[in-house]
Amino acid sequence: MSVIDDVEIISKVLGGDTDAFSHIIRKYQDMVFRYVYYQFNNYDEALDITQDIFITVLEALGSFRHESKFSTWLYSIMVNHCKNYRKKKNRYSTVPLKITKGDEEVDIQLQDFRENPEERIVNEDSLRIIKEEIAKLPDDFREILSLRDIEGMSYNEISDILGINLSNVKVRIHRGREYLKNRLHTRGLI
Amino acid sequence: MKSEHLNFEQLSDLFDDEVTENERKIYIFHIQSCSICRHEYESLCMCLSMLKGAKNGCGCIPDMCHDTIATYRARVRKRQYLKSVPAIAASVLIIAGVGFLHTDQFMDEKTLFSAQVSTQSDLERIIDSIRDSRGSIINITGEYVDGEIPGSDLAKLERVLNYFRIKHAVISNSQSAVFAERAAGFEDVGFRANSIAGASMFGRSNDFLKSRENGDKIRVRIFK
Repeated sequence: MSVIDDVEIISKVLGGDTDAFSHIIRKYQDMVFRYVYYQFNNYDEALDITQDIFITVLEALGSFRHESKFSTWLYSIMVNHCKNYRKKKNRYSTVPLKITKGDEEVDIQLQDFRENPEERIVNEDSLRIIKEEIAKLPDDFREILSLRDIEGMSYNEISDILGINLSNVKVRIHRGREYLKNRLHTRGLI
Repeated sequence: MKSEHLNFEQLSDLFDDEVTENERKIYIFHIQSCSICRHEYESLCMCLSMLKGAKNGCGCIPDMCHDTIATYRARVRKRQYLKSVPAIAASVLIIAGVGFLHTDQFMDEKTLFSAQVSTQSDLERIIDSIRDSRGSIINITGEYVDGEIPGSDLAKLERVLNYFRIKHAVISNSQSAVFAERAAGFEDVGFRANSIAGASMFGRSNDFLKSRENGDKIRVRIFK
């Protein structure tokens, strides 16, 4: 589906055909979900946030002025939504569930009975470690490495999405990669 | 170049192909000849390869179209409803207010209130009109006011009382005797039935005309 198709779909949606937005959702949902998932490292939370992002995009569609590619505009909303969500989440930090066993408090172990998509990944340990390390990255590094090395976006696209200049994009990418490489080295993965 | 190792930025730029053709040749040549830089570059490649592999590590997601659009529509409906709440509340208040105005209890209070106001304003108006006619107040009761005015000012008083549709009647045109009785504290001010019967409530009476011709003091009873 080309950029022109996005524009056509937007025109349809703005013309009152809300169902046409499903084409946009199908096209971008994987990418958006992946980004959100690596920002928060939680499947269910990522699903909810992804849905919220698409609703935000749908509500704000009238303000899209075609000054950039639609995808860039959508990713900008996605990045900002995640930033805002993180701020809100940090304000209301979660309390771990605990039960009392004798005199001690023990974390409740909740088993996830859903089909685990990771089973298909051959190197499960590596994936687990890399996920853990992505989750531990500083927000700026995680954000930029998700866009660059997971999604494979260009420096220019990242610059547009994050609203920072190219040299800053490069510096952040270098620092983030170096940080992650050192972490993975410490974990014995590389 | 062999003595100076490549820094991380150069290795990262080489990986992203963000180097010139000449730089690439130099960097690759160095990496081939320097084991430390080669190891660093291989580590970086492995790290980024694993990071790229994480693209498939977050699992599959269901088709979100239906839920997302349904949620959006629900939110739009909710927003429209919330927007209309003030209008609904205002309508309810108006209807309740109108209903309350039509209740008997409210009407009684309202009637009582307006009657009080009317009585007060009528009394004031009567007193003022007697004074304006160069007259004096003789007696005030709960139902009427007796006043005495010069006969020449009857027409003026009549105009005022007729204008405000205030009932009135000439009750006497006697002079000193009546004053004497009133001074002694009698309530009877010489009201004569035939006098009031002959008087027009809102029109010009014969007594008024007669008194005017004579120029005597006229006693008038004005009903509240």
